[in-house]
Amino acid sequence: MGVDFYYVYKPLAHPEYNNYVTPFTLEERLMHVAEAQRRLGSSITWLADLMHNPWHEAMGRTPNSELVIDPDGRVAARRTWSDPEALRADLERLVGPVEKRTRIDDLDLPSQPPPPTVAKGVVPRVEMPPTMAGIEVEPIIEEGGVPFYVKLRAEGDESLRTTGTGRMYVGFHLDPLYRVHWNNEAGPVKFSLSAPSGGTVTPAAGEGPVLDVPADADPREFLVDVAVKDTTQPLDLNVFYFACDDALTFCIPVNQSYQIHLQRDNHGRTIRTGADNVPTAGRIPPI
Amino acid sequence: MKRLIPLSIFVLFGAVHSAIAQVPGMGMGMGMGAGPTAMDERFYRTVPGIGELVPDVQVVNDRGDPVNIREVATGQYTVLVLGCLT
Repeated sequence: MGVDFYYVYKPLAHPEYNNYVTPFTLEERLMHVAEAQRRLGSSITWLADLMHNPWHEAMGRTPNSELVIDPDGRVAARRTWSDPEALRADLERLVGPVEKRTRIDDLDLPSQPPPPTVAKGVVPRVEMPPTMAGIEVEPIIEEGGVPFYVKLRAEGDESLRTTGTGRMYVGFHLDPLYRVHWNNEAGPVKFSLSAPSGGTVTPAAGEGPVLDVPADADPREFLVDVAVKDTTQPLDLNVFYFACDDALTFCIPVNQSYQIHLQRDNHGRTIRTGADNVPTAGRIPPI
Repeated sequence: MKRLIPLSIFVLFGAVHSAIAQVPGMGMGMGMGAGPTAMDERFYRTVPGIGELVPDVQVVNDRGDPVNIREVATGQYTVLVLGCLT
């Protein structure tokens, strides 16, 4: 009796960690899978959840759960957090013991670092208000259009999410898998926001800082005040930026659009930073 | 699609898994703590219990081809672990 092993790739547990940002398309999620394969150096087969995350939902939106399935397709063991020793015990009980246990040192796992970036720490991060949590962003993907080299993350405070009036964070984050940077000599990122009928956004437009540093990789972040009557209606956001790759083969102007929904993003997870890996100030834990 | 792995390899998986847990930021092991959490409760409420069929869900392989979880997990013991880059 043999055993098949699979990893199933799911939404990011902690966007921004090592600069990784949430993919917008299945193709981009598969880029994440390739990156995971590169970083781990493991030959274990990866599968990837679809973009509406049916497997993640079926697993209770857990970040690192594991199942052992028997040959009839029935659950033989399950746990919220993967636990190698417990898994080993499961398999010895279900399948049988092995003659020789493989140790980590027996493996040649060439784990690789995340992609390098240009300078970070150039642009100060915004100070997040209390009760912020990720809300749903919907990129308007045009057929044949360029990738979202820069990706929007939006968050809202509890008041905004529940009443339609409150503070909203919009952050434009470089996607490290595209190996791009902010070219500060080409001009800052610019965005505009519009609320549904009868609503307001203040300010309704903004642009990134003008910097002396020629290039950096910091997110461009903004806080705005929103007041809408109907929290089911999305806000529209348009953004303009120059996408410039690190290999200096292109630097192109990009216009892209989003709809921002005020509902909490159940798969958006929490930004965490620092060695203690705790939620960044202002952010509430994931649901 | 199925890749049958000899029994001896499952110890390799455990070792790989342990190694992954030591790679900072690979989403392995974070959040483990004492006592059940809301996440634990949601997991055990949502995920089929012991002896129940694994969910009939479609995902894709690393080339983007459709894969049915129940189909790949039938015919041999199978381990499925959720993971991500963070």
